[in-house]
Amino acid sequence: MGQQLGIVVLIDIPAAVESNTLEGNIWLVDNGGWDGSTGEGSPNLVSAFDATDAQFDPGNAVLNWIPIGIGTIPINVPQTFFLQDDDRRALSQRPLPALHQGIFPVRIRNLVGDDVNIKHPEHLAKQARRADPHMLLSAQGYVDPGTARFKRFGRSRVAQPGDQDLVYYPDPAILRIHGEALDAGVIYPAQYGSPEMFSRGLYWSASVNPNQLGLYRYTMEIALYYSRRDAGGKVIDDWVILSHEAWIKISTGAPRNGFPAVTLELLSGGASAGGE
Amino acid sequence: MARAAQSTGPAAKPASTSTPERVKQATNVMAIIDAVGALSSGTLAGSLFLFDNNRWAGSTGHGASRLSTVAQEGDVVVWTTMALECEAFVRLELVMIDIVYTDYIELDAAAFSETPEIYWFAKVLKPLPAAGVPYRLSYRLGNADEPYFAPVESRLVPPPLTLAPVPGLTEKRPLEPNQGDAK
Repeated sequence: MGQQLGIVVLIDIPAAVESNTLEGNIWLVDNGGWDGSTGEGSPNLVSAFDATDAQFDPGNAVLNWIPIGIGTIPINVPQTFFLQDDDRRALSQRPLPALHQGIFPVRIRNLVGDDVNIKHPEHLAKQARRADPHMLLSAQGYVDPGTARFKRFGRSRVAQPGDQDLVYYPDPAILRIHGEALDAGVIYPAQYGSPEMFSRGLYWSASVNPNQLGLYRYTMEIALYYSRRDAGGKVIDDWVILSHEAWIKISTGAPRNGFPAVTLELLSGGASAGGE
Repeated sequence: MARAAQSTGPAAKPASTSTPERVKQATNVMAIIDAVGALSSGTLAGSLFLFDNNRWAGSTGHGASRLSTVAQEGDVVVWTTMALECEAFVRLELVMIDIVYTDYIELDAAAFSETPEIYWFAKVLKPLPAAGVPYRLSYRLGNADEPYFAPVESRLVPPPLTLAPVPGLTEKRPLEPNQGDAK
């Protein structure tokens, strides 16, 4: 199984939009410290991959980019949290067969030719049972969004200058990944759609070519969305596209045990594990 | 809790109308935790990354375990948590603030509606002392029995008297008139 590396891209969106640059307003963190990633928590992240095992393990190493605006709701909060009341009501309905329990099978029987009086189904249940209100994540329940929702919610409502509570900054989106690492055939990024209904939808992921050892640069084009007033004082949605560079380092022989001098080359009798 | 905070709002309103009331701000402190790294090394050192979205006001220490977040009277500071690996369990268990600071900070925790995700929040009741209010975070990770403590303290601090020029931020913003430094 290939190595999975998550790269979290954190952006202070208001500051970045204000200054029209990501410099000083972006931080990257990955979980590759084990393999020697450096610059975690800084703008200059070098994500390290240990390709030693790639000879034996054909599974591709995979990079995932997760762009997040600081101050948005954490990504692990289920998407049911963001539903409007209408959607909540719609989701809390029981599926059609369950909603028309009784009628549905009778209807089927009617369709297949049985002599059933569906106009006067006195023997059927009067109304559908309610979904369990105590069930977690049932998409029912509280309307009160809670304190922490300040910055996340509000569809371009008219905000006074400086009124940060009403200004809404959606999560940033990576539009494109390009640069040296792609030109050299080191990473093969693509945008994927999540099959899970309540996740955040599109995300970028890349498989890594373990045979290209070295340090390579790549550039992310990141869109930041925000609201502003146009000349007429009307609040409109707008965005800026800003770019940021990061690095990927692919190497062999990251120390995995107490004998760091013993590398794969020694173990396999000098067979080269990839030219540098 | 949100309701309680609202009910105390009108009473806390200053009587004088000479200066406009400062717009209250919600500042988020977001923790990114390498849960696997922390569990394998037995400590949060090197696996806890703190960020906030108030850097333009003078917050410092982003991307490390020691964060200084600028907060003013009336502001709300919200702590949220995210694991680097989305499968890992991470929960902010405590925001520990010394009891001598109860005059400054009202602290509480809640969950995002209908979810098991916890956030903590603090209301800043009056202008913070110049040295700031230190606090320490502790987390529950994976199925470890013991909580994991942040290796160092972080702080809520009052805004700096003069805004240092922040690289990348070209636009200078004026200080708010009534932020309490004049007391």
